Amino acid sequence: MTQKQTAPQTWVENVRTLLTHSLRVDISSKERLVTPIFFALIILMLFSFAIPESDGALRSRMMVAESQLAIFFALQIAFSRTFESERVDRIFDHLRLSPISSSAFITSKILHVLLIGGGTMLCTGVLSIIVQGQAIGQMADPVVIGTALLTLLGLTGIGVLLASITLHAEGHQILFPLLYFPLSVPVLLCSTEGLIHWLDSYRWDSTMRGWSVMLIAFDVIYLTLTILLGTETVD
Amino acid sequence: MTARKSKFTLANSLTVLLALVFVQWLLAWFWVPVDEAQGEVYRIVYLHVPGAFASFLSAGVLLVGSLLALRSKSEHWLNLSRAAAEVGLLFTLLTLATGSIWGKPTWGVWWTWDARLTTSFLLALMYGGWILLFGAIPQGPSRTRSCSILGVMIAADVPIIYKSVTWWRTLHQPQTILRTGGSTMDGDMLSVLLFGIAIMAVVSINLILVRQETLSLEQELEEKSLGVTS
Repeated sequence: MTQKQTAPQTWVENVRTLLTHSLRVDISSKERLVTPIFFALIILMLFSFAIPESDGALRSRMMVAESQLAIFFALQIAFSRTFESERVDRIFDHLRLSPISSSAFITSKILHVLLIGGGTMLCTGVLSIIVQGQAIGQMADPVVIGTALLTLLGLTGIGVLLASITLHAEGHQILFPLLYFPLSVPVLLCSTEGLIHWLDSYRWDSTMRGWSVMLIAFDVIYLTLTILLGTETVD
Repeated sequence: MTARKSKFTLANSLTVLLALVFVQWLLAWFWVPVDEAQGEVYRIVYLHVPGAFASFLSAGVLLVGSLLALRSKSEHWLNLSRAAAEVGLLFTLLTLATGSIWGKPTWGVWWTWDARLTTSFLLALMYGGWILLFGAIPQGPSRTRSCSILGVMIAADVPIIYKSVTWWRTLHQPQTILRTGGSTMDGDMLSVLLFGIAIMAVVSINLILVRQETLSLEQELEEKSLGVTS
């Protein structure tokens, strides 16, 4: 019995293979794709009931709060199942037989969560325009989109690392939010303060620059820690 | 025998240090002048600020313990991290409690979601989370690695907490001790406060070392009893 010889995969190919696998698992179960959208819809509905009539300034603040909440909770779901297939299907055991770079593994997980988070963000925006009549121009503002993406990046970094370290912990479903909440607050605070300042004034002044620099600094810290230390947990 | 002797020494030095803390409190109550704006209530600063610095210092020890544990993969250093997390939690809670007592007459509320208060509260949650994570993973390399990584993450957040009063709109007074252009405090007040910070820093290190030794002895005993059973 002869086995077909395959050339060893490069790092990028490893990332792509792992990412494709994770996305296939997501697509195969529809509830995984629908849950974040339901979350976004529930949050928008609650805000609409709580604050039925709002002026321009309050409306933009609502948009910030809604989108942050939707992303925060959607990512919580994403993280809780990030390593689920590895745990259930014993993929880590298989990886021992055909080892791949642990940094490729962590990178694929970060990209996977970024895609889920990005999708949720997009759905929240579209629903916000449809359900609440938010201005498309405000939602499609490059600074708003950029800040939201930076927030997503920071939250993803911290979440993937925490998901990997709580993987073998008893009651990790409870432990994860307990650790994720305090560590994600600095990113959320910078992002919220920055977005509110921008939507109030539309001026790229020192305050806006300050919040953006802080947000980028947190992203860099968290992503560096994830890539440096996440490989330790995978190993 | 050696371990017992060193524990005895650590415990003795802790007694001396606690006596020094008492001396600092006496100075704070009877020697330093009263604050013109805040009155007598400001004296809680002599417990509040040293407690806050001790909680930051514990995060520093947690970082060192975590990095050493990650490098050596040894449970010994994890005990240092655990001791630092426990002592850090203790001092953070002390800081929050004294801050709350100070806040009531000064701001009119026991608690407000002010930047410094919120970030200090988050630090307490993080220390608590570390202790929970330690308890939730069975002993072994996985626990050493996971807890050490979380330790590094907690320590990375401490500069944010320290600088929060500068970065965010806040009720909490800005930095008065370590600032460019020198301290804004009166000389007598500052000297007693610095004395208190130094003493509390040594007390926290001492507590961490005593606790680490207790944890190591507990672990040794557990391993021996398991050896006897098997």
